[in-house]
Order: sequence, then structure tokens, then C-alpha cells
Amino acid sequence: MKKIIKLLGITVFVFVLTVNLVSAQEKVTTASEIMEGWDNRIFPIDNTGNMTMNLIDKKGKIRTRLLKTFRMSDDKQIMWFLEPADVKGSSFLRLSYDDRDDDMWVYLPAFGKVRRIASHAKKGSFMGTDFSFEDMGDRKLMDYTYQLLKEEEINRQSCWVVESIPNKGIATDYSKIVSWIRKDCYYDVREEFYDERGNLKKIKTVEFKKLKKYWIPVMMVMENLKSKHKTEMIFDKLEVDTGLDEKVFKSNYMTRIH
Amino acid sequence: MRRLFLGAIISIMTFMSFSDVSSQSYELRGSLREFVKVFSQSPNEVDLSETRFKLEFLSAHGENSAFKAKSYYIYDGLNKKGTWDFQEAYIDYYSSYLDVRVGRQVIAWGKADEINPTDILNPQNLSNMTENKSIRKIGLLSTKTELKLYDFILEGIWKPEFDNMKLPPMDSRWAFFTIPGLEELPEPEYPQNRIQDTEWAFKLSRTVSLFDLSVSYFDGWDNMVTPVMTFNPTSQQIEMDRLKFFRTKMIGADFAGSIASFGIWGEAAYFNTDENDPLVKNPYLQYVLGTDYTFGYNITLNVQYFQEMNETEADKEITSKLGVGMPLQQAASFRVNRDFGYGEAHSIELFGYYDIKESGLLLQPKLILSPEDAFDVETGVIVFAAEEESLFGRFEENNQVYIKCTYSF
Repeated sequence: MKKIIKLLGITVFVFVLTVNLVSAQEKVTTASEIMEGWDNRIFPIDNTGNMTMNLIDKKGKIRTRLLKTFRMSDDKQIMWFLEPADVKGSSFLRLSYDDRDDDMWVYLPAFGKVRRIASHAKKGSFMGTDFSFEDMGDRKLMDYTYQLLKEEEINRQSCWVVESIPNKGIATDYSKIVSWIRKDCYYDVREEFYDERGNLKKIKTVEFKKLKKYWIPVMMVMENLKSKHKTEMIFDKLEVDTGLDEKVFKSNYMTRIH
Repeated sequence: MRRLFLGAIISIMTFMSFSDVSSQSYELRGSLREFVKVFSQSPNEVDLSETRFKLEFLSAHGENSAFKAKSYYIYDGLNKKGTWDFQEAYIDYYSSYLDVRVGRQVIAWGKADEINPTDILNPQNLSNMTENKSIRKIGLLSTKTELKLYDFILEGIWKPEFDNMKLPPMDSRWAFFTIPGLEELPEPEYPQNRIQDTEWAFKLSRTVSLFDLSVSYFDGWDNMVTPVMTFNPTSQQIEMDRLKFFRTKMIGADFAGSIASFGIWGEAAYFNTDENDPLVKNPYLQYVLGTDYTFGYNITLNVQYFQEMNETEADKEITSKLGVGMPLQQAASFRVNRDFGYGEAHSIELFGYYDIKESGLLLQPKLILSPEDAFDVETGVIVFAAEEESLFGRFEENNQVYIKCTYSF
């Protein structure tokens, strides 16, 4: 009997200790740790696909753009416009770095040359959509101060809700970004962007699909609450780890015929 | 020389035909544009009534080769005359380290906006100065190779075909100059059809931190015709004997990047010729410095300063020409632009040149509306204000209103 009591006691002790340890681990999950996880989320070595951009105005009128995109990790991205006819052949290249702002270039066939996008222009709209060049780029982890606001479920997915405030001197169009980050994969499924006066300006929602071992966005919607415009980005013909050559992400590749 | 070049193109096409044909794609695209310009001063003559049909054929042959042809059919409604302009037809071959483009092509050099001293590889048709630069350019048979060397791109160009800048006729309201006693310019003396008379150029580019940089070299012909003057003992006057072109070398450099929230760029070209003629300025340097900034409400301001520096005072009297298309020697340009409407489909712009040396002004406000994708309507005015003897002063009676409608497919 004593042995049984002793065994039960040990079992209860181990159980309590385990529960305490787990809950302690959950409690020590800080906003910075979550964002580190977000920054280190696993991307395919490369991915290719098509992107349909639907620009929807407040009356519901739709303008559609079709693009072909190549991406390497999260650092390099190149895309070509396939439709409509008047922008066909235009292309966009983004190279992202850990220690400085992204480099971006556009190629417009009418000019016949590749042009660098100046840093001030990054606040502007990406090809007339509700996404800015800044939204299309990569946020640097060290550029923001984070705070865990709450935990919440979105579409039956458990998420951390993290507020990101830009550090002084960081060039950004937003005073605050609130992100809903999935606990299972560290991907943001929703983001709210606040303007310089602190008013909610835009909301981005993202749907993911698992392709091989990666979570890949298949649809992104950016809604501008001020203009009541909306842009949908729908991805299809997605392929991952295709063995893309790094030379694809050079400015001279932008001018090639596809 | 052209036969040799044609042979090279046929060889490359044969080579391409042996490559993988399973992933070949074809595409036909183009646009139709109606362009009408009317002088705003009485008697309000129509300056231009043009229908321009652009047709482009593209074919990608797997990942390694492609073909493109671009031509325009232009119907001049005033003279009831139609012409074809076969601007480009080239073959591309791509590999990991080397891209080759062979055929009739337009090559754009320089990082400045519109005023590009280093952009001298293709002449322009300046008979309609208000036309887009991409349309004004005349395609020429050339080979262009781009070699990727670590972080550098080395571009090499060989041009066996030469053509010159097309100037507005001397009896036109847009004539740059007139020569007493001459109604039209005689046929110039073209460079000979020999390999040593072909043109070649190099450009080395790379990105360093926040800047794109390049240096370039060109050895070819000044594509603006130059008169050769002789003394006529009968009339006891100096008269124009013939028109010819001068062999010219250019060393160029350009950069584009960002400092703080400003985009900045610069471009410079130093020209030199071995020929010694009092009507040829030699040597001279042209440079452009520019910056742009985006303000609130999506308003972008772009400002540039342009200057030509000559060695002698006499050279300053010779109008500037090579590559610039505007014989200005010290000028500033500005462009205020705002894209608006959903998808930023519409835009309003004020573009201007200020001739600092001669206090002349060219202003071009315009509005571009795009009610549907691939359908644009552009309307604007062109206003000149200057002293009569200056370049812009010459066109002071040419203020005009225009409208362009373009449908792309």
C-alpha cells in the first residue's frame, strides 16, 4: 500500500511539475520571442507561380492584373506583368537585406530601361494596388518594438496578437501594425495598419495552404478603410523548391521576354 | 556588312531550331493610337493628325531564347500618306552568364529622366519633338551581349548599321535652323560600309549598397549631321559644301540611388573627336543631376539640372546635339506628377524645361485618363515662352493643344 501511495505521490508530483513547466513556458512567450519565430518562419528555397490581382473599387468595379512571380526564400522576388495589355512586359524586382532597406527596381518596356525605386516612393502604391511597396517588402525585426496584446482564434486557428511600433528614425508609412500570428506556424493571418494619426488605415488578411512542408499564401486581401478600396492577390500554379538559379534575381533578367 | 550580319542571324536561328521546341510560346500584341495636335494661335492649323498602329510579335523558345518584332504603321492624315516603321526585330539567347540580343533594336542608356547624354546608340526622329522618346528612337541592326561577372554586368555592343537624327524639314514650323538659299538639306555623306566604320560600345554596371552605378564607352559616329563650309571664290562667300558625320568617342558614367527620402541620379558624358573642324565642338562634357521626392497626396516632384561644358567660347556658339535632342546648353527640367483614381489609373502632370542660358520656357501640362484597362485618353497643351532668337523663342508661335487616344490589346 505504502508503495502504491509513494508511486501515486511521485506521479502527481511529476504531473504537477510538468503542467507547471508547460504553463511557465507559455507564460514566458514574449512578443519579441513570437516575432523572432515569425522572422525565422520556414520559407521554401524558392517558389514560382502566377498571381492574379483584383483591384476592387468602392462601387465593386474590378480591374485585374495577372503576374508571373519567382521568389527565393523571403529575400528575393521578381515578377512580370502578363495582363492587361498596356502594362504587359513590365517587371518588378525586390532584394531584401537584414541590415538595410530593400532594393527595388521596375522595368517599363516603354522606357526600355530598368529604374531603381527611390526610398520615398516605397510608401507609394505598388502598381496601383492597395499594397504599398513597403507592404510588398520585408519588415526588419530590429526596426520595431513589440508588445503581446492578447491571444485570439481566427478561423479556428489559435493566434498571438502582437503590436509592432516602429522605432525612431524608421521610414514607414505606419505608426503601428497589429498582427495575428498563428501559433502553429508563425505566419500572420491578419494585419491591421494604422496611419500616422493612429487611425486604422488598412487591413490585410491571408489564407495559407500547405505545400510539401511549407505554408504558402494562396490569397491575400488588403482593404483600405479610408478609400473603401480592396485588392485581392490570388496565387495559383504554385511550385516550391524548383531549383531556381539565383541569377534570375538580377536586374538584367527583368527585361527578358517570357 | 549587312549581309554578314544577316548571315549571323540565320546561323543563330538555325542553332535555336535545334533546341527544345516543347515549350515554345507565341504572342501578338499592340495598340492603336489617334493623335491630333492643333496650333492654339490663329489660324489654328492642324499640326498633326496621325493614326499609329503598333504590332508586336513575341515568341519565347523555352527558357533560353526568344524573338521579338515591333513595327508601326503610321497614317499621316494631313498628307494622306501611310508608312511602315520596322523599329525592332531581334533574337535573344539567354544563358546563366551571357545574354545575347541580335537584330534591329533600340538600346536605352542612362539613368536621368528624358535628358540622357549617354543615350547615343540610336538616333531619333525629331520631326515630332513632342512624341514619346521610345517612339522617336530609330531601331538599328546591332548585337548586344551582357556578360554577368560576379556582381558586375558587362554590356558590349556592336553596330554595323548607321543612321542619323531626323530633323524637322527646314520649311516646317518646327525647324531647328534655316540655311539661307536652301529649302531642304542635301543628302549627307554617310560613313562607308566598312568594318572599320562600324560602331561599338561597352558599359560596365553594378549595384553598390543603395546605388546603381555604370561607366560606359562609345566609339562611333556623331549621329547629328554637320555642314562642311567652303569659300566660294565666285560668290566670294562661305557656303555649305556638303553634310557629313564625324567619328566621335564618348566616355560616360551614371548613377541612381537614394539619400534619406530623396531619389537622386546623375549622368555625364565626355565627347571627343579626332576631326578638326570649326563647326564641330570638341571636346565637350554634358551632365545631368536630378532628384525626386514624393509629397503627401501622392504628388511627386522631379527636378533636373543639365549643363554642357565647352573648351572654347566659339564652341559654345555651336548648338548642342549629340544624344540630347534639344540644343540646350544650360537648362533645368521639372516634372510634378500625381497619379489618382482607383488603381492610380489616371494622372495629372506638369512638365517643363527652363533654358537658363537664354531664359526660355517650355511648359507641358497634361491629363491622362484611363476609363478602362488598356484604354487611355491624354490631353494637354504645349506652351513656349522665350526671346525670339533662342531655341524656344523659335517655337513661340507653335503653342498647341493635343489629344491622344490609345487602345492596347
